[in-house]
Order: sequence, then structure tokens, then C-alpha cells
Amino acid sequence: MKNNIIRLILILITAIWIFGFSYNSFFPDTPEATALNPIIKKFYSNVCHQDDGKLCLINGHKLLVCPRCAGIYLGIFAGIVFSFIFKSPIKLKILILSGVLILLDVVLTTFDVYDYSKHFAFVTGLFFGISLFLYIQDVIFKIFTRKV
Amino acid sequence: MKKYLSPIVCGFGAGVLMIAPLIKTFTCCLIIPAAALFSILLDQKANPTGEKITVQKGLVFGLLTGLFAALFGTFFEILITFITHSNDLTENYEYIIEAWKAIPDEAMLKAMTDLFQGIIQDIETTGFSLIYSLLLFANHFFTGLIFGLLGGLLGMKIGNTNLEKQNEDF
Repeated sequence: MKNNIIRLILILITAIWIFGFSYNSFFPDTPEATALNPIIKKFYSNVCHQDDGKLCLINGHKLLVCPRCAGIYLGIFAGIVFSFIFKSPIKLKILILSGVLILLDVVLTTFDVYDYSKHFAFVTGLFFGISLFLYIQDVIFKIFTRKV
Repeated sequence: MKKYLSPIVCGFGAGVLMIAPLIKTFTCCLIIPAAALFSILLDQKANPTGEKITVQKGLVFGLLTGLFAALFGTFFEILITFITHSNDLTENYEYIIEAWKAIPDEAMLKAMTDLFQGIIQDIETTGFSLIYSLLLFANHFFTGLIFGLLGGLLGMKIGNTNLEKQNEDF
């Protein structure tokens, strides 16, 4: 029961974070969104390169993070939701595999083996985000239940 | 101090990578978590006690790595701004002012524009703005802490998994 409350709190926090980089697409052309955009864009620039050519368009407005970062954050969100079902942590091998996929995509697109794909970047990020949360979920729950 | 050498070293590395444009394109949001992860694994290698890494240690190392990354990242960005007398704020000045014209409250718009113009003027004339530096640090600090904590927990878990494997092999 306590773990479910922690999951709900984590879902809320992650949802706020995701809303932060995508709010412009939900409230397009409102004065508040337009005015806040430069400030929030600067805030998210700490955690993403925000390369203009790589940003995703939703409702005609760009997200403030690249598809890979968006995938990672949405993956963490999905991981928290999945943790309601998959309650025991996944193996390290799966996390390493998801990390290697990201690394491979970065290396292969950098050396022009194939063209950068927003979809592939998003999917690899998503897989990594889900694996990341499912791998460390037990530690997070231990912190909040003081079983450290 | 020696006890926390690895978060300082990894925080420094992350601080450098945070401002390096080409590297930032590759590593993105994984710089600070990776630095926190390495700080724990580095400490485990340097001080092989054979004991499990506690959650407290994971959190402290993650927090410290995030903090040092924020400190060094801010320092390097201020240094570059000081040398070049320009940064992304000065480069995007017109775009920001244009976006702020959407603010309906005129008094608020004037206050924000005046503050912003003061920052831009300071940067272009002296290369340093105290308000900008403080905002920059607060910005780096917030993300550094969150991502550092995440990396610290991940490092702790991986470190303990490695240790269990070593013990089984032994």
C-alpha cells in the first residue's frame, strides 16, 4: 500500500517534469505559454542539447527536449506505471542492453552509417527510461519506507 | 575531503561536458547521472572494503556529484561569458523580448524587460552579471541534484550487483 502511494507521488512528479517540456504543445499560442517559453527553454537546456533540427513538433510547436530525452522521461513515467505490475527489479543485463542501444544509435548516426531518426531515438530512450526505473525501483521504495 | 574525491573529480568532468557543445549533443541528459554512477564505481575501486554500498552513500555521492557538476558547469559558463562578452541570452535577446510582448500585464512586462536589459548590458560591457550568474547556478543546481540523485542510486545498485558477483565467484 505504502509503495503504491510512493508510485503515485512519483507519477505526479514525473508528469510535472514532462508537462514542463511539452506545455507549449498543449496550450499553443496562449500569451502565458509564449512568454514563459524562453525561461523554460533555458531551464531544460541544462539537461538537453535542444538541437533545433532534432526537436519534435507536436501541434505545430517544438518540444523543449530532443526525442531521446523525451523518450527517457516518458520511459521513466511508463516504468513507474509498469512497476504496479512488475514489482521485482529487472536484471542489470536489460539495463545495459538498453544503454548499449542508445550508444549504438549515437555512434552510428554520428559516423553517418544511417541517418538520424527521431523515432528510433525516441524508442531507444523510452526503452532505457523504462529499464532504468524498473532496475532501481526497489532502492527508491526502500528510501521512502526507511528500510535503508 | 579525500573521502569525497571521486564526486569532485566526476562532478568536474560533468561540469566540463555540460558546456562542451559537441559532447553535449551525444550525451544529453545522461551526463550528470553517468558522472554520479562513475563517482560511486570509482570510489568502490579506490577503496575496496568489500562492504555493500549503503543507500545513504549512494544518495550522498549522487548529491555531491550533482552539486560539483553544477558548481563547475556554472563556473565554466561564467568564464566563457566573461571572455567572449556574449552567451545564449545575448544571442537570443530579440527573440526573448518578442516572446515577452505576449505578457498581458504591462507593469510586469516592463519590470521583466528592464531586468533583462540590465543583465544584457552587464554582459556586453563587463562580461559578468551577478543576477545571471545566480540564476544560472540555481538552474544547474536544481537539475544537478535531481539527476545526481538518480545516478547515485543507479551507481549504488550496480556497485552492489558487481560486489555480489565478485563474492559468488570467490
